[in-house]
Amino acid sequence: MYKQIKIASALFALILTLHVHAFSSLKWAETSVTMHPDPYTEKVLAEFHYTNLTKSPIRIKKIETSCGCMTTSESAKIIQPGSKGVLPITVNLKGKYGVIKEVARVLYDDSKEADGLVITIINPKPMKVSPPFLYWKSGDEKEKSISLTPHPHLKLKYLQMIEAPAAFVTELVTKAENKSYVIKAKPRKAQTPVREKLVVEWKVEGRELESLTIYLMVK
Amino acid sequence: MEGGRSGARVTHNLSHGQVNAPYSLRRIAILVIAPACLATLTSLIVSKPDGRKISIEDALGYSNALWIDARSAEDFEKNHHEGAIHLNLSNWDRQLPEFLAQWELDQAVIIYCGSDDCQSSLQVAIRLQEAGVSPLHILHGGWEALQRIKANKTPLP
Repeated sequence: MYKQIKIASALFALILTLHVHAFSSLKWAETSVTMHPDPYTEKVLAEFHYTNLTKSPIRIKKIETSCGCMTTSESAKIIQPGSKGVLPITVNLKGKYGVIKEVARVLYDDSKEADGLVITIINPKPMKVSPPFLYWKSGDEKEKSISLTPHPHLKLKYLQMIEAPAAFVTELVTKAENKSYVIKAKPRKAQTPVREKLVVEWKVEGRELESLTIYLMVK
Repeated sequence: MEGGRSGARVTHNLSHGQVNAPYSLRRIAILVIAPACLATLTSLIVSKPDGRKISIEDALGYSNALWIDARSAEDFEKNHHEGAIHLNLSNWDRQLPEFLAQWELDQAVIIYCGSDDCQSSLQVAIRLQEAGVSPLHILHGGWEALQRIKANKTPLP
């Protein structure tokens, strides 16, 4: 039994030694960051701090990014032994919402290995709509509702329904002025399949008028 | 904009007294099995909203499923699963009408993104689940699994 443990320990030590030699690149303070920008943010900047802990200069050959929305400026840079630095990566958020996960791979001149830097961005929409649409099964006349909640960092000036669907009875209810709204709806004829939309318009301080479409349907 | 960093340093106190071998092996077994159980449990939780991901074999077994491609527009335009609708959070308002036009009550919806690492299929699933769409499945392995099947290679484990 002890012999087996000794063999396993020796193998483990060997693997560990090989592993350490294979990754003689930069030492990163963090290899992943999570960012929570406010709505309407167009670009975010992530900064990755590194140190060259080896005894030789390290040259970043290139940085591969997971999308064209990422820019950085550190390729071809030589980092002297013991020196520290920051790798800035900018992510353009235009048209992207929800959880955005992007990766930058840092490749070095004298190594086949690459370091992966992960940027996770949770980019919120200015208005949270839940559920995103309503549907009724044929024959169901029950009233249903959709909640509309502006992002808490926004100053909403007003919100109103500017287009109501003819086949549904709808009502916009203010739960908390400029903070929380509910649209109540039910079909006028629950037996007839139909799909219609209602349009809500709102104004955030300092921004243009915005609107969104919500679909209601009887299947 | 605000950035957040998280990190934790865990220090283990090691005792240097004599330990009998079977006890040591049990500890090693526990150290190996416990993280594996935790990973499995995490995987089940993350694979919500319908409680589990669907394998590529089971997904392709559906004869009438509605497929949703939650990858980027560029990736969708390059190639996508036959009949799949392009829908993710970034194009939600523009593409939702197409989903609503095609979706039938009780029709299985299978959502995929690039691989198991991406988030967009889960986000779409959460939004559709809010609306009551069921059954909903997230394709295990995503587009990579579909490609493997096409190339007649082994699907993801």
